[in-house]
Amino acid sequence: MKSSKPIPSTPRHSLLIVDDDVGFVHAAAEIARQNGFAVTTASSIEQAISCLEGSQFDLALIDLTLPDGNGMDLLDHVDLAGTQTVLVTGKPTLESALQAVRTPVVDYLVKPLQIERYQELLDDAQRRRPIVEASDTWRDMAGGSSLQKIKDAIRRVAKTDASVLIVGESGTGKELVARALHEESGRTGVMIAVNSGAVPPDLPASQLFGHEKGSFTGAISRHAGFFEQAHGGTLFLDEITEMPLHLQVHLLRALESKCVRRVGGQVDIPVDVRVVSATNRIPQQAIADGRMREDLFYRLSEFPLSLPPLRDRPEDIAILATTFLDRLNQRYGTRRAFAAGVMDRLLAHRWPGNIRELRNLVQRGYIMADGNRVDVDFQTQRPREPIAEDAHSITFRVGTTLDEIERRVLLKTLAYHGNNKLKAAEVLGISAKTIYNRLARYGAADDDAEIQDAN
Amino acid sequence: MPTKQQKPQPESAAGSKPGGPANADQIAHAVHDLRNSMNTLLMNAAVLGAGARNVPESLRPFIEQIGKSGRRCSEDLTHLFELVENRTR
Repeated sequence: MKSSKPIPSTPRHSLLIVDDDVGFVHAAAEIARQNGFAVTTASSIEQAISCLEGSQFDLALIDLTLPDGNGMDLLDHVDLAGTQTVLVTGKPTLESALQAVRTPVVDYLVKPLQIERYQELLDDAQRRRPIVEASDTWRDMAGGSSLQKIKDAIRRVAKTDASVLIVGESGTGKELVARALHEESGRTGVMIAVNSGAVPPDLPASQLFGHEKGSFTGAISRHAGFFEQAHGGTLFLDEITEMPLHLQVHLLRALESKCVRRVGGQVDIPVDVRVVSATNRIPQQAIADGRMREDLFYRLSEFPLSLPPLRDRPEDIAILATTFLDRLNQRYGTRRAFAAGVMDRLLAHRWPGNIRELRNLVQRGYIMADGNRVDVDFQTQRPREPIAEDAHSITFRVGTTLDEIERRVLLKTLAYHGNNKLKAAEVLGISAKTIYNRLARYGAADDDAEIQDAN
Repeated sequence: MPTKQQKPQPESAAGSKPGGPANADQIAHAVHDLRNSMNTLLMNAAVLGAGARNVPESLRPFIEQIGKSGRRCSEDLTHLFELVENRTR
């Protein structure tokens, strides 16, 4: 689940570890944390894709043999221009080695990983500029008139306190714009990103506004909610039209009073938070459908910002494609160029996945290039069949082991109930002791991040 | 703590006849498992090594030894893997 992602003002370097060996992952993550990295972990391709959507990492360590496929499949989802990618395998074969060698942008290591080599990777990543400034994509990117208009709007509104509602299809870069707004704002606090549709339904107020110790079963300590965490900074509410209606009432009240009251609290706490929200729906339609309160819409959209789909701004396609290729060339010291006819094919495409799809296509073309000619192949851009899953449901591929099913059900249930182990035990029909035993076995007893990852 | 998919033990090293020669797939499988186990062991040894200053002084040599032995095992195993892989190729 990407329920909340704090984005520090002073960015730390970030590492994504994709491996289903829990014992290795925990140890590798611990070493990276000791080196100052913010670590995200995923145990499958599906989880990793979820982590990579809207987030960038300085370093990605990807196991080739994963329960739901080959780690190479993830290369389409990593921004290789900014992420040092390392494929790791315990099964070195001639084929995978050749594939990797053909891909100059990734390192390829065989298990057992030498700790000295791992430390070198961490050091190298730290020497490079952190890539959290994804908004560089906006700041530095040349573009046609529509892109320039968006950049101009970001620059003008960023310095104000106006709430911004970003509307655009998937892949148009809504979260990047939110980050750009935060970074250009000059606000000293952090940006907290919240997926409004993924907030556990039984603890929404607690998540947003915090709670006092003992305010409900499982509230074992005082907790600052997203509003308080974002004090002095920006609160980014993604998928705002998916927020439960009763929570929209609380949100509106907080926005109007500029105060929050923790669940179980007696006092109103003033908060200085700039709110940026986003949706891929048409807000007026969401209001008509009863999914969004009209008064909240007006409160959130003091400055509406529409990100047009790529197909409506063909003048940007060539510019963006060239920019993506230039970044890869710059990153890896190459001089690759598009083959003849590529631009015509790019212009003729409909781009249902928008900028993200274009970036992935260029990246794949770069990886698979023979010599310095970069071609693109729309046939290989087959999106993975998404397994329908959200905060309320869980889906398994045929062949998933019973151990893995049990582990994911338990972690997902915990995440759904805000890590309330008593509640999770109750709905699963097991004892709390069993939950603790299982978590200890998974090595996740104190790792809320893993539980959060389960969603 | 579970490690990488606990693989079923081969019927013998051979998988067909006890005491019989193992086929290339079985050897590759066993090598893969061993690489993963060694990988987990080494990384955890590194964590222990980094935290050695927090344990009683009398225990520190043992932690250091885990790291040293782990690295030596890794080198020896890598050499062994190369020998085995060359032989089964």
